[in-house]
Amino acid sequence: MRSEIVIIGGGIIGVTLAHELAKRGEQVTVLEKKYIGSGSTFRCGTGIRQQFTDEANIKVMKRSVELWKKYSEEFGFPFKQTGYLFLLYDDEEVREFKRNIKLQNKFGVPTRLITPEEAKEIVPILDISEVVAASWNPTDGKADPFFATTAFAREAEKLGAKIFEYTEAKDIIVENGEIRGVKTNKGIIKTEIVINAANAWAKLINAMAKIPIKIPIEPYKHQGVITQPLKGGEINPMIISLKYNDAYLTQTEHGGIIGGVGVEYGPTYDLTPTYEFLREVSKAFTKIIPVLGELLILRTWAGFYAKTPDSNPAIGRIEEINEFYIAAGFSGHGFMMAPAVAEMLADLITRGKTELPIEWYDPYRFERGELRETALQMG
Amino acid sequence: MLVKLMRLTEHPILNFQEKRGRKITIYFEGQPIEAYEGETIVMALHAAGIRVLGYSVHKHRPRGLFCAIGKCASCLMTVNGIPNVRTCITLVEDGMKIERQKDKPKLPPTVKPPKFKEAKKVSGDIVIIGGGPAGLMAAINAADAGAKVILLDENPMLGGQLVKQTHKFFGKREQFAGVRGVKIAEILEEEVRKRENIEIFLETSAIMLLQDGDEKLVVGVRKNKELIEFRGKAVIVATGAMEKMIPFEGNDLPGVYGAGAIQTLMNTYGVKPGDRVLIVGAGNVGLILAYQLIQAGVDVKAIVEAMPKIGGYFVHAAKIRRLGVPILTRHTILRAEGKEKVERAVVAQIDEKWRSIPGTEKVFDVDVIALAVGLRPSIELLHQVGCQIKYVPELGGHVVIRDSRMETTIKGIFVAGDSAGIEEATTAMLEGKIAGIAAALEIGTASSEWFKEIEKAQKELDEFRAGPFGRKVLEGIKKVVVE
Amino acid sequence: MIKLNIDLEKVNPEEVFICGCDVTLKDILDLIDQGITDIQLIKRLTHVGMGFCQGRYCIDTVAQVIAWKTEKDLKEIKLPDARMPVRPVKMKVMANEK
Repeated sequence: MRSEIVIIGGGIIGVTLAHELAKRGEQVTVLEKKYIGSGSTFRCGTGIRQQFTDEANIKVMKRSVELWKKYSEEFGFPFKQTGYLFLLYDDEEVREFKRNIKLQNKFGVPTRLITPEEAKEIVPILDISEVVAASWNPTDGKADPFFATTAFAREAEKLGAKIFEYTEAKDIIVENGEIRGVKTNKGIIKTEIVINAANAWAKLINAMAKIPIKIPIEPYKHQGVITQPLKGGEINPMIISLKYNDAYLTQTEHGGIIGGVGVEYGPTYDLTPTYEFLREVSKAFTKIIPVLGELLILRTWAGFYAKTPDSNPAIGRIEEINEFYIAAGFSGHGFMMAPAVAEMLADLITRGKTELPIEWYDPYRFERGELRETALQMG
Repeated sequence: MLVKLMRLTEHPILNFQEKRGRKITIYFEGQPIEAYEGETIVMALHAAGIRVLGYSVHKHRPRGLFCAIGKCASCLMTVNGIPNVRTCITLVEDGMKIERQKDKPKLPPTVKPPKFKEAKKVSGDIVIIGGGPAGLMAAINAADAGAKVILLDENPMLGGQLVKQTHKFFGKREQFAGVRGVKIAEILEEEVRKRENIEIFLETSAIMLLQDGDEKLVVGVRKNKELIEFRGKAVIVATGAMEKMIPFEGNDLPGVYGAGAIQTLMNTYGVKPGDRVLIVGAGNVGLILAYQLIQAGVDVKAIVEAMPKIGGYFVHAAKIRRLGVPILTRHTILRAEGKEKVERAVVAQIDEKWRSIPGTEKVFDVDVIALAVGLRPSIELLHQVGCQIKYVPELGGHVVIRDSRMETTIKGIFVAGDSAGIEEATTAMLEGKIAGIAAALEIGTASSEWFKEIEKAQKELDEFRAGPFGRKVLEGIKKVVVE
Repeated sequence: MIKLNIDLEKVNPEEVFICGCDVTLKDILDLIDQGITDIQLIKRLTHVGMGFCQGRYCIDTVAQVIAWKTEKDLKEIKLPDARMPVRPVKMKVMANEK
């Protein structure tokens, strides 16, 4: 068979991109080695945040939130703007966040510094005895990765996109710098355009295309935890505590408390949960909200942060292979960024340019030694 | 006070009057209920006629007991203000307040910030998880072979499922032939308790099994509140089995109980499960259960069996039939009916393609439906730690690959009893013995003399399995045993 | 073909409960009809196996229903991973508070 564009990777990036390209009339095929979302998307922490510390990520996330809102209304999946609440514990942290808030405000993100008492009004069960202030943006939010991913996939298919599950890319056929097709476990798909959206597995896809530049993306194991369900409304926003092990936590639609901490292992493709994580996440969560100690932990799991040296993804065109694009290395931010990434990469592919600051994610920056300011990362 | 509706006072084999602990009072939704020390919450509630333990969160359907051994989570209740307590393995205490859960809980008001400490640490040579027939025999033999043994069980008593087996065992004299299971449990417990190199932790759940350097780490939780790290050079997993559930209409109604749960009610705690029972499944478990129910004065309306033939021993079936209980082969249960709890069961005959034949429906007025449709090995710890698993229907489902000395694909992790494949208590004891000695040999506490004991136990296993009922098991074992 | 103990054709699947968390046979059959036969995915979409029993009560039945509907052998149905903790555990116990 033939397809104008082949996207390798059926995570949130692959399916939002397929949807965006199909909407623009492109003939697109997604290859997913298991089922959509099975790589890292379905394992993610669900948060969608604009509180970044650099211009590019703030702008991109602002656009992404607009798109999350638009598509959740159009497609009918849960996306809620319940805010992100960063708990701050000392003057230095407050100073740093004041600077971030100023930058976020400059680009239209309405973050503000609030008092511990105001934070407690937002989440009454919070322990504020050590908190000196909080950075609060009510327009940040969270979405359900299962329903969001399946909704984008379904809508993409309605527009003519093909999504092949249990179809693994085995090799990319390149002749004289031109892409000819993708070999899969189910046969060859002829194509001229390939997009590497394989995130944690992106280096394997880059190697198949033999791209001549170095794009360091490595898989790191990050774990999540979920507790028994509670009545809704106990913890509406995503709560962040950099002091307590870069912890993040919130309540899911189903009622469980979900989150993680910054216990990282890697590079590795192992996804076995660890005792250390369970201990550390329990300590951090009960420090932030002591009554969470009463909850039963039901499950842990692990997924990958596909990390680059500056925790910013590599998004763009690889000039030496005609036409090979990459959108990978999201370092834990793929889910939240996906709709905006899909838009900017589709812009680049179909119009050759985009209004979003795609240059920040230039895949050549590693080769050139021009690392970005490290993106603010949790868990 | 709710009166003792369901307590057995007369029983041909067991004397509960003598066995019962001190009389105390517990409160169910404010109502005082008589209970006895040493029994679990759910037993005391059931004895007072309380079957509905809570309601499901979304559809608010009533929930009742199912497994009664801490595995299935259908008995979660709020105890002294603490939600989600497994009431089937939590002992009653005087003045305890017990409430049904109706909804997702709300959090209690803020508590004070925590302070942390290191987990309690317990070290030994061999950690054995599960104190049933396999675990007890493993402990006794490993201890005699020179190992310092740590034995955990999440139930409040040792003996596993032996404590509810009132029938006499088959086999040889050294395999306790002619002795009732309850008595065997007592004998093994006494043997374990008199050995100083066995440390016992009851009401202690193993929540994970890990490789920790050269050692194995078993993380345990005692009485739902204390974290304990158990370390040893080897681990024997003897976690038994889980009752199988089957799908039919109304299968979640209180009164649809696993066969094992009924035996726990009746034989361990002297509580009648109900007045009229339909049993699903005519294997040995279903047949023995029918006999035990009749002994306890419960009316057994019928046994239905989907297969064309009775699965259990002929002698058991003949006895049941003599007592007037019809065994309907090629019949299936269609639905359980009733408001809040089982009031009726509807069954029908099925054809060769397992389809029910119209016009063959029969209605039984029963208040209990006993599911004796088989057991499944409890392999979750072994699966979690990464032992290779395989689906082997002859052994009850997914089991671990192992060698003839019960060692799994992970060196130093052994398996024994029903968690290695569903069989009988006799074979569980022999497998436990083999695993206990093999583990002691591997860590070097046992002399090579002990190899003979392994060979002896293996020979006894072979003999026990040589009968017609062992054929299926042997087929299964062929699929999982590697050298 | 897998032999279920009961006649699944005859029952009303909305009244058959696969799991104590209110997941019905119909919820599972609907997904299988959509071509979703991976237990991992069925777990995520229905919540079966994700409650207090951590799958001990329900996952085996889900596997049987999949095998029966897809006419596969049960050994071809991959079980979901068993992950720690294998029993629900209180967060304050895990944190080991004083």
